[in-house]
Amino acid sequence: MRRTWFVILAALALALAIGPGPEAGAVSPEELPGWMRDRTEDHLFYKAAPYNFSVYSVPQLARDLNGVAVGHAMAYEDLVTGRDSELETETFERIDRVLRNPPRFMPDEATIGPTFARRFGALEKLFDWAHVLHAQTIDVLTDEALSNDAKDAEIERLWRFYLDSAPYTITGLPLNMDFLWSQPESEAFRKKYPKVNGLFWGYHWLQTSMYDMLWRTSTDTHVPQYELVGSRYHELELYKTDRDFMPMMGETSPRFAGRFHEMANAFDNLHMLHDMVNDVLASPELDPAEQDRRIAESMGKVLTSTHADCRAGEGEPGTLHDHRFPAGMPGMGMMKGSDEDVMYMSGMGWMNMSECAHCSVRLPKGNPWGATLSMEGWTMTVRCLLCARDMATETPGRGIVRAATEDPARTLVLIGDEEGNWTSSIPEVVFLETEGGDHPECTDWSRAFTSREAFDSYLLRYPEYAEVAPLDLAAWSVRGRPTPETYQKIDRPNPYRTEEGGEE
Amino acid sequence: MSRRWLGVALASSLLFASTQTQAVDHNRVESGRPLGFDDASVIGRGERSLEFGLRGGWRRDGSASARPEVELGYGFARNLAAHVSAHLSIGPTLENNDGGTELEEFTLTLAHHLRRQTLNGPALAYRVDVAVPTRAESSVRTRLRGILSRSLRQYDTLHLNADLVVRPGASALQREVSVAAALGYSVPIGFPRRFDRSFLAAFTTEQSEIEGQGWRGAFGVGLRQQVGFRSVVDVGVESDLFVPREGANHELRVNAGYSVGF
Repeated sequence: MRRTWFVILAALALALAIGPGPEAGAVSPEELPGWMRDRTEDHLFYKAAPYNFSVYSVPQLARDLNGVAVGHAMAYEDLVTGRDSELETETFERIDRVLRNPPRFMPDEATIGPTFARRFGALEKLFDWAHVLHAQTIDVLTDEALSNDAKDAEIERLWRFYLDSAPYTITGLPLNMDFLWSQPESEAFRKKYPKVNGLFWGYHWLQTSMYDMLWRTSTDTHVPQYELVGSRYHELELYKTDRDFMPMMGETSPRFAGRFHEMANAFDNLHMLHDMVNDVLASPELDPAEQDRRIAESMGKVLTSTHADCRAGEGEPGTLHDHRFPAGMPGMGMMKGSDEDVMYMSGMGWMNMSECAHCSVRLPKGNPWGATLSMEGWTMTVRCLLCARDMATETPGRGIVRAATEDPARTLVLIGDEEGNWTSSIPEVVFLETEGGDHPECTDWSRAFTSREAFDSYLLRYPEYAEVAPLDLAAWSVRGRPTPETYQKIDRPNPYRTEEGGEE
Repeated sequence: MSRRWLGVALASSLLFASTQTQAVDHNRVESGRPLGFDDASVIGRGERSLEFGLRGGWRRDGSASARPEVELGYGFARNLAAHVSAHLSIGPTLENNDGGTELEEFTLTLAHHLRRQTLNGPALAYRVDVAVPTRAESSVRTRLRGILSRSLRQYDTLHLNADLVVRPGASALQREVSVAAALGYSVPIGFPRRFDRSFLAAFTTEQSEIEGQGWRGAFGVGLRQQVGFRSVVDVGVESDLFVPREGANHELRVNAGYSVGF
């Protein structure tokens, strides 16, 4: 008898020591909020504002976002109407046709996916309300009348409006993505429908990449920037089937995610909810009632109400309430294999997001904040313009540099072609770059100015650079240095792949 | 006075039609836009809608009429919306044989969505319209409309409306209570290549408000076309199939409208 108790206690201790399994942190049906059983439509409209629908000032972006809505709805509708066997063929082709010729106006997803909407009404509310937040944020960013600071203040108001107007909101806390994607059915959709999953992740790439493209950049640059971003979306990002994980806000719009981390987390959690729903619907071993239950549970995992008493940066690792985030990136939850210092980023490898992606020196705080470089589908933050240019030179393809100037209200946007020729959003831009500066001080000697006067004014304050000649765009473009000696590559294997290169 | 109202309505129509405005999806159906039935949804909380409509009627005896209207709606709470509308009439109408131009009535509406459609049950809503005529000899009319919407196949939907009309101050010739019903059909058209257009059809029937008279029945078809990111143009044609008494005029009605949400 005593031995039996010993065995039971030992088993319990072992279970606790091993830690939570995939079901740990599950949200029980009793814990789900009452609104999920409510059977009304509960349509909520945008926050009334003059900037609403400004996204149409970047016409192709607006149309592509309209196409995303159709793509989501068509796939869901076919999944729940017994056409799942056609998903990789006819459904994919049908969606692809729409994505190539996206609708002029945002369609009502419930009209395109009526069966899905009837079956998952509560989920539709959760999706729709978060999509309204998505849309209105983009409207603010594309508005031509608001200043950058006014846009930031309005985005904060939008976040409060989102949370205060309805109970069906997605938490702005970082969630552990590895935990959320370790459910029994996780990855079923990606494995079974790689092409359509590629589309979903392509949509999410667009929906996350557009924030840094639009945030604190002049509205004049939005159309030319989107010409590059949109062509990449259509040519490559939609058709990738080899991503390790869905695109994250912190990876594709690190500046916006760092500034509006709650919103960035909510969008990542929304996109993860899409993946969790997809995986449940792609699991034929689950009968419809079980699918409904698992989807309700998935919703419960990302709701604001589920995490009401939690705080960012805290929580038990690897659980539903793991709200830690990687260093320097409060707008992103922990990923597979990541710890507080480093995380694995598809296409880039292991990164410390509090450091420059090019020279590994700690990123500055305040202005000048440095620059970002968008290439090959990623957007990395670097300390200075030299780092941005040299990193671009090392990377094939077209790119966009967004960089601080002496004027916090004016972001320099440089759009580069395959040959390394750049066009500038500020025609009078002047660069400072010394020949032999050390990287830890690169934010002092590698800078952009909106005018020659601003350059001269800076030199008056920093006489140690008095002998340095100003560089125009053409002269600056052809400069280059080897990889800085400060750069430290983090040499670890891809956590999503086996040593042989297969999937984990 | 009447002319001034008409001028204001037309000027407003032109003003809003010429600016890039934003509400209302092509797949949402509302009475008069363009046919005489409602679906079981209401505009979202916080949404405002502005609608302009013009109904032209041609009778067999050769007379014609026009009925411009303007409506302002507001989703003041979740699943609840209020609307106020003004109707003008130009020429003889079914309700007014005298002709002339006048501000016919104001209507106050409360629309309440009760239930969305699920896999097992239809969507339900009701609306209460209180029509306040401007003519002293006419009485206030209250209509309670129950609405049921249910999908027929994957994309198309049937809408059943049942009305109870009450006229508390009815004259001796008028019914105090009458009933009406509508069976509507809506389907988005153009899938999977376009997502901005819906086709509608409806059979409507109503009991005459005149004591001793029978029923009027009409059939109509219509189209709702999204023309802006929140604006819709609608057009519909409706013809009487039967009239409440022998010798009464059959009418052909054409409705056109523009709705915008913001």
